[in-house]
Amino acid sequence: MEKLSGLYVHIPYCTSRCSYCAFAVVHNGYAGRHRYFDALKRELEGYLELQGGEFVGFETVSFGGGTPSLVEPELIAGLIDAAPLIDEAEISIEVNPESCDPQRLAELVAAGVTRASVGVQSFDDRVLKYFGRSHDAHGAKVAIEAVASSGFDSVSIDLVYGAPVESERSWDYTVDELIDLSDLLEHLSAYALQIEPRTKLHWMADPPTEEADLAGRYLRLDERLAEVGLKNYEISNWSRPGAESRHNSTYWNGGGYLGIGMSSHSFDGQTRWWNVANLAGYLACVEGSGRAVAGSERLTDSQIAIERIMLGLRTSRGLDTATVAVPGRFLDRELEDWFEISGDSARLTARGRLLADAIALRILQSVEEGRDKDETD
Amino acid sequence: MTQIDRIRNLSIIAHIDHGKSTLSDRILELTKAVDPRQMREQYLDSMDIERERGITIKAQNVRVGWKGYTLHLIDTPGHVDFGYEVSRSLAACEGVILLVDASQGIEAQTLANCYLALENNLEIVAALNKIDLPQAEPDKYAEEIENILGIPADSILRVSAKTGIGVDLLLDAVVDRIPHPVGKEDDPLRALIFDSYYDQYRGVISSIRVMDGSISSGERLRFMQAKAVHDAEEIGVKTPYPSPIDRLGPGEVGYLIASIKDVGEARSGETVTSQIDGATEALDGYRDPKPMVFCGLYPVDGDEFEDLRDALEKLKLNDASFTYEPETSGALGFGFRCGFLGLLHMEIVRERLEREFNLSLIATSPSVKYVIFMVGGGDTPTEIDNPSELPIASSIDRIEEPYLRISIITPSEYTGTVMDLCQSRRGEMKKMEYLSPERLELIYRVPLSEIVIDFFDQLKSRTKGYASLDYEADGYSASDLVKLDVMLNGEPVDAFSTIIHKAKAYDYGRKMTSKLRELIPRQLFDVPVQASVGGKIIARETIKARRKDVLAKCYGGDITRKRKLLEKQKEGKKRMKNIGRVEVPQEAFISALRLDD
Repeated sequence: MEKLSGLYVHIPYCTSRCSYCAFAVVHNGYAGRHRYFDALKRELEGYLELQGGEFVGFETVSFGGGTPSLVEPELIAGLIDAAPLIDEAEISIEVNPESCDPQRLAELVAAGVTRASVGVQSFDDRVLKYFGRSHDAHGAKVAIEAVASSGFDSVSIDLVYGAPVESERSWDYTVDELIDLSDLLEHLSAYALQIEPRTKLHWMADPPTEEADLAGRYLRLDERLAEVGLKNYEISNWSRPGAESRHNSTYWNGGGYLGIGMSSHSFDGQTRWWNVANLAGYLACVEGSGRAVAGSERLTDSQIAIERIMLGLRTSRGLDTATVAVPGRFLDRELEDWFEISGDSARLTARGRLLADAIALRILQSVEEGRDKDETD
Repeated sequence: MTQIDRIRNLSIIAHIDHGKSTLSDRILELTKAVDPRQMREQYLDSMDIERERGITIKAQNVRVGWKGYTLHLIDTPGHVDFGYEVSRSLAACEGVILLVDASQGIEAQTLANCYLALENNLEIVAALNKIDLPQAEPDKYAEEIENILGIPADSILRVSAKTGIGVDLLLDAVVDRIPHPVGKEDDPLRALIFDSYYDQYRGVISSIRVMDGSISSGERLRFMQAKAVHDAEEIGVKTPYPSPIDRLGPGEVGYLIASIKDVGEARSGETVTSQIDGATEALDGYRDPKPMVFCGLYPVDGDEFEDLRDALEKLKLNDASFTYEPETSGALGFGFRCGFLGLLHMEIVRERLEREFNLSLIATSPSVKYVIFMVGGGDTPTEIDNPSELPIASSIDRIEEPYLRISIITPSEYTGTVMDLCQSRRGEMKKMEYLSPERLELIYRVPLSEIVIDFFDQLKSRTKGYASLDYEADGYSASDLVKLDVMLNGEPVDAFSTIIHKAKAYDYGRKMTSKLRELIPRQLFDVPVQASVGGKIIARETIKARRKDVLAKCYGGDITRKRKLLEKQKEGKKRMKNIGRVEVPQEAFISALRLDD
């Protein structure tokens, strides 16, 4: 069993729901947050007891949501205190521009938070409005400056590209603004807009942005970021050297993590389990039994192998070169153009990353065919 | 045995929907052959498909009594694909009832069958049906029949098969006008088989007409064309219930069961005689039915290949006129090349396979039999019915294809559009004749390959359903034909290869490539879709490569979701065919083959 090196804490509260959001969030019930934090602590304590005396502490903690910055910093602080941590632990929190007043940010830093990620999404007001965000571009810039001057070790922002109302010019403007602010940033996440079922955008059913346009926006962003020293290390994530999100890297490297709070997922290297996804149910379960597990799956070795390939392709870690090539020759020649090989590691190029899922499928097939062939030989 | 001068043998010739089955039903009632409580509509059409489509595929015959006479009603298949079987049925008769809808007039196919009856010197008793309908114009159409066939208008009866009006008079006319059969009881036996079907309990049951001599139950029989000997296990008549009897005399019609397992051994046109002191000469007119239209049939699910083979074997027992042999397609896997008498026959066989044997099938586009003369091959041609077998163009001297002589009867207002259609199908006009001021008959010579693809549907839709079509084979002629290949990423897709007239290749190629571009999902690389003739590309489309296929977010819970999706896609890929390194879902082939619908 992998040790649980990461702790994810789900904070479900939002003031309003964004048009693309399918996450487990609640925009009423905020009044009950103290009870929710009590439940989080109880759930955490239960796991710690199971770990016994050998557990040295979490290497990372991540507060996500929802809008974790919405709750009082003292609640966050209380939870950090309750979690055993190693020295130099990474403690990150997602913050929204409208809850970035300096006082609150200072309290988070004092509580031990080392990393803040600001949900900017775009610097184009038209796009922000389309997403139903409660801030504008100006508010986002003010927030970034406030976060950057609050004393966090690392500042990141989130962007979303490919909204149907976003033009090429609009995206280029957002990238220009981002580059202007890049001195303040150690990290960036940029996601292609994905229309999830049960979201307002799904209901609106606007014609989606063309694949080729999305690809162009991604590639332009990647190029501009490289110029200012932000390097891609996962499909949708860029950082300065050493400022990669350690918490998220645990997900991508197959490490163990504990998720607490409604709808959160946990993984110990072999088994993945997940919590009840509604607030009332979560509270009732934890208050009754100390846990709120809704389901679990134990991965077979081949499923672990599939995840390893799938996640390896997404990151700069890449795959073992032997998975895709023998010396001098690619196993599947069609894939050759999408990879760059350095020694033992075969990584996707920027264009290849855009096709990571289709490539994963091909590699899985060729791995399977190779296995079938071995069996018949 | 029935006294020969008290026998009348007859068929009813009618166009689809002109009321043949209804008239048969009325006759069964009037002659009290069927208990009214057991009467159901279209009593003699026993297959589901027949009743649904309102057509007769397998002929049935029935013996009824009328005023001291014995009438044998011999039902004929109602479609041009079964023309040969019609001719055998007529050979068992001395006369026919020509039944014409009094609101529509005579149709092309009825006319063709009437000419056939006249050639066989049969007496024609004409009757206009549906006179109860408000739109009936019996006088007008009686005159038309007189003009076309020379049957005096005042001799034409008026009936309503639906209400029964005039049916008794019609039966009286049959007795009066149709001559009784001739034939001596003492002559050696010659009986004509005019229909056979397979019964899973009794084996083959054949309809026979005794021409000369007599046939007895238990007698050892020789089948003259099949050169086989069988015992007459049971003979009988249908009233319409099968009733075994000891003996059938000259002129009589009945059934024969002789422990035969395959209808191919008791085909229509076969002559049956006695093994001892039998006849030395068979009856005229026998020929092997030859398939005219071909297509590949493939199971949608490759695992059903053996089931398809079983089903074809069973169906073949019941239908000697279709052929099948295994073939392999790179695109569709294992299947069978099948030959049919015509398009309807093809549709019926396919439908029976799907319905009675619960199979799900893909059919390739219908094709015909081409005759290939090779360079330096002299006058010995090669025959092919599968376009992928066509040799390379440079080795071919010429290609001949089968032609039809088609007859179309249409209201004159549609003459222009019908002529356009025939010309667009490379038709050559032979004759145009007015049957009446409002209707005319057009005769064209047209390649069969131009008819097999949606000609009939086009004719019907252009004439609002009013035109009727008949055709007969009209030899082979050389045409400027080429083989068109469709290629994916440079590799030919055999299921889409076709032999086509040079002038039409370009259009077809464009249509096919653009259809495939839409149907085949985008791949990791650009995929050219090309149509080529003799190595020359005549149409090209490109399936553009995918530019983006990746999930943007992949954190905690997303990982399970993403893996499950991958596992599912991996399973899905197993059902794809790989052609020229392009993954093509089976559905794309199925949809593309529907192109001509």
